[in-house]
Amino acid sequence: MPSSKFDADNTIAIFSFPLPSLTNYSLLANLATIISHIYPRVIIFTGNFIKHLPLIIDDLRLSNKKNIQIYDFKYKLFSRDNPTSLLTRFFVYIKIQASFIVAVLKLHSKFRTALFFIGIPHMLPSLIFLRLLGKKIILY
Amino acid sequence: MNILDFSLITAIKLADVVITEIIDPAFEDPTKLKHARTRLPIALRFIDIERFKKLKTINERKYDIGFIGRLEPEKGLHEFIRAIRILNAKGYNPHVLIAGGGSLINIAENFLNKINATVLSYIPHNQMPDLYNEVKILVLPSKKEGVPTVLVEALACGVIPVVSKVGGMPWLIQKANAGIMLDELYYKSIYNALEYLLNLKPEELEDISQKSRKFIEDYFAINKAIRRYSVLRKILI
Repeated sequence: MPSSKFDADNTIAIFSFPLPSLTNYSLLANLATIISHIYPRVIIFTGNFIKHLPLIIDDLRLSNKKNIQIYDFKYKLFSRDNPTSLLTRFFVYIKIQASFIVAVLKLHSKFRTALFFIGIPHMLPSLIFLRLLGKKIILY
Repeated sequence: MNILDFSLITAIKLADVVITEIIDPAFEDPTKLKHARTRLPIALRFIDIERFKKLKTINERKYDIGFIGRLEPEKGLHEFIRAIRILNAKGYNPHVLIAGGGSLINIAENFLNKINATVLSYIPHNQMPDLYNEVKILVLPSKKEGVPTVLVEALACGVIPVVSKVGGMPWLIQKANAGIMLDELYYKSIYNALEYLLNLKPEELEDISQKSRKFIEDYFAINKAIRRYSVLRKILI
């Protein structure tokens, strides 16, 4: 078996939309911890994960850290009480959508299974694209 | 139907597997039940049972009753406050903790001035195990929930739960055989449950507390979560 196919079969991608609440990052860390003991490689696609890492590091304490890779595109949605204009929010939303699509285009050959976690309705374009590429899709 | 509902339904239809933390289908989101090709109730998270553990007996704890979580209308804070008011009117005067932030923080603080209560607006997560270990009874009268992290963490610390019959909470309470599930989300139901628990002997409360802890060890330890999730790899081959 070619090694790239072997790697893809043993890799799972977790897609999580970067919603503002810290709780979401904590839940993502919890899920990644469990999955990192089942799959040899876990790639997390989200925004602002690295920035939140110091706050959720305890949630990753029991993870198999060497199995986790993070594709972080440094954007997240603004919280509802953030005084940002509607136009700025719209642009950030578009940037996040574009980041997901770019990430999928770049890395889809590295995994066979994609798990969609938080903010599923916002990630439908990526999900459809992955489905067309024949990936196995799991929803949380 | 708005665009996000439409997107969600489309995503569910396209997925090979939908995993969920709601074990009992009776409490599952109807959209998932209707559209999922394969529904796998395996998605209970894990809890770090070494960090979240029982450090004190129920009798040693400072707060008789706690409400911990977002202070928002859908969390049932109004119903909780009304139930506590009745308890006070009947002379119980429990020491109450309200912990969390949200749009109803002012209501919680006004309440603080009238009764024996403590309000904490922000608690760092690393201090939560100590906080849970100061609470005897936790009330979660939410109108909508999945499996709330606060409930799982509190049970791990031996807190006695009183919860509404929504989402994943009924399964937890039945399986743990600990605490009380409210038949209806009504302040009198909360009052009745709290009055019942406040009248139990300390050793009876301690027994419930230990059952809470045991349940978490049995279902939420990381090795249990890994075993549950392992099914995914097998069915997706």
